[in-house]
Amino acid sequence: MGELASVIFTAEFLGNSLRFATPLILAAMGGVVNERTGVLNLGMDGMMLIGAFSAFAGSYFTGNAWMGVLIAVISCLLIGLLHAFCTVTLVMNQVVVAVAINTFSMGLASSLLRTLFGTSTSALRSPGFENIAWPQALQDLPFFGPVLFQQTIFVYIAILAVPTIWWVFFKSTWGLSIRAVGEYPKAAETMGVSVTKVRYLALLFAGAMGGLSGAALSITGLNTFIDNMTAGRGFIAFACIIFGRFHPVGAGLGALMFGLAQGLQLRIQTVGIPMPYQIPIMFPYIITIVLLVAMGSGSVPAGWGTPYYPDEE
Amino acid sequence: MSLKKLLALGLVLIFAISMVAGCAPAAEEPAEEPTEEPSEEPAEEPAEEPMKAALLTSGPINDGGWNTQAYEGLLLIEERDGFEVSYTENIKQDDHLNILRDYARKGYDVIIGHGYEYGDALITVAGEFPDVSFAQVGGFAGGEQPNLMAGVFRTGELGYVLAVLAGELTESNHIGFVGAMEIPTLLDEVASIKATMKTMYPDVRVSVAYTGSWVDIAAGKEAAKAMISQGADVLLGIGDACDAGAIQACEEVEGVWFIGWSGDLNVLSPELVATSGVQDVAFLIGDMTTRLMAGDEGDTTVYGIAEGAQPLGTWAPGVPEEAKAKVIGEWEKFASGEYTIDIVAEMIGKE
Repeated sequence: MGELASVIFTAEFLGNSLRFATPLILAAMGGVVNERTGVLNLGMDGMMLIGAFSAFAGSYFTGNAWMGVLIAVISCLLIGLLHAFCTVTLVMNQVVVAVAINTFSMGLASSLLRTLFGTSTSALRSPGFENIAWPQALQDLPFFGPVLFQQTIFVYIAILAVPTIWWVFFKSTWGLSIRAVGEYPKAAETMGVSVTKVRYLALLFAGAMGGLSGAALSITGLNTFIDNMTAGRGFIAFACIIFGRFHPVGAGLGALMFGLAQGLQLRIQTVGIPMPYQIPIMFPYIITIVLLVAMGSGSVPAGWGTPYYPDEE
Repeated sequence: MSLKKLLALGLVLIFAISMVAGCAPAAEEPAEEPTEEPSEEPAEEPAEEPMKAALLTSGPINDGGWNTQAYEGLLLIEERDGFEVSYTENIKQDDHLNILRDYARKGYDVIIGHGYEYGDALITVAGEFPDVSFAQVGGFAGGEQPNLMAGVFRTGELGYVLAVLAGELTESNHIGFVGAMEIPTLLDEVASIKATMKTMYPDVRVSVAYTGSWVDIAAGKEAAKAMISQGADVLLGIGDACDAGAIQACEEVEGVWFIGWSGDLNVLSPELVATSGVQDVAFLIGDMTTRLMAGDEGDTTVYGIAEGAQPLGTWAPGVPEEAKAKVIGEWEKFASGEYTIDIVAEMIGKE
């Protein structure tokens, strides 16, 4: 156990875990906004997958990682728009739409990958993001250097997104509209807030964050794409929102905790503590759920998952 | 509302079509309707009609590992034997029977199930279609029906040879193994690596970690980083797409080697992938189809180094000559028959 402790309390471990958690945090921050407006969005994994693919493909063909991010965000905005059109305008069942979007995204990403890149077995690598070039003195800081100053821009976006969303939710009139629409859409509508508009914007925002999240997965070091590479991360982000009680800080901490627990379980395996490997693999899920349940703040939006019919009385 | 319902219906249709398109057999050369074929050339010379082969895989054919190799096998028989080929990928267990029957009904001559998991379905369908030939890669169902052939790799040999390489290369006396899941073939290799290290390089420590996924590249990278941070300077890996992540983790630091399995992974990082223990699936598929087409009775064949199915891959230029010579020497002992898998079994037995 002593060896495990010496492995865990290192800057390298924390830095890597933060990096691992980044796509999850970004996706959770997008998701928490649309969940708060009362729309159940299980389609985050599909959005992430499309984001990861379009970031990779965009970066590969333009030779510029930033273009990759732009293309990822635009593609995911389209998916978000589709989601909003189906669930808000057409008032379709939100779960069914999400399942359709996930299946559609997986098929679309695989098909496009085959169409654009063939089935070559050699490594396809696109340009990707490097760590931000902070002054060497900052990078070399003991402990804080590797954790905070040897990261790509996505890590900072993710960290800043959490307080930003919190501020928007609880300190701005937008946040009031978002929460009102999620709690009691009819009352919000009576007060002159357009439920349709708020839900559309929230889903578009979720799409954009899904695109960023996918880009944070595919072009910040891995710089490649393979089928289904999100491996369910969109659902984990969703779980972080639920167990984080729809609170941006809760969801963000949940995602961070998952990243830490993932790093921890791999190190437990590596140190060679004798136990079946399936047990450490379960750790991230168990730790995240236990911690978030124990935290307990915030609340489920009352109008969550129920479509709003503006036409009817 | 009626306009909305119409739109909703339209979208549902689009999704449904996209799902069907996503799941349908992705025929590389779309299998033409059997009714159209005879109308063009009314069965003048039936022998001229190309033989047809189909491949079923559980994962994507571009995973760069196990499934990609099967796809390459399919391309091999297309080129070499003039087969007309199709494949279906990402198949779930409960679809095995249907897809096998579907190909059999469409008049395919050879149908290949790529993996242990196809065994039961192949036995059933081979019984239903005695005139069609079936083959299984990585399983033992061969011979259960006269028209069913199976081929498996001899596990443990490459574990031994590559462990020797890892032992020669490591300077920190710590090597790591990054695997996807504890499956029997993978466990055999791990056991072989551990036993080899214990017997031949007793000072070297072996760490083992599993990612739990064959596609999660990020997890593969994270696992490799965890090993490297604890001082491992040679990593071995069996993880299909995860290998790419592990190799990237090695690229980010100085002086860490990677040794891979299945495919020739040197293309992923020519300086850093010391070599790979190639499991030549194309060889198996080529050999099994040849024997099936020759009318051989179905059986299960074990393919190893001696059979020519497990060569070593491309070497990184920086591997010290002595280490390379030693490893090739060990490999040749298996190739010539001087060593058999028994020596590995013996070492494992001693533990």
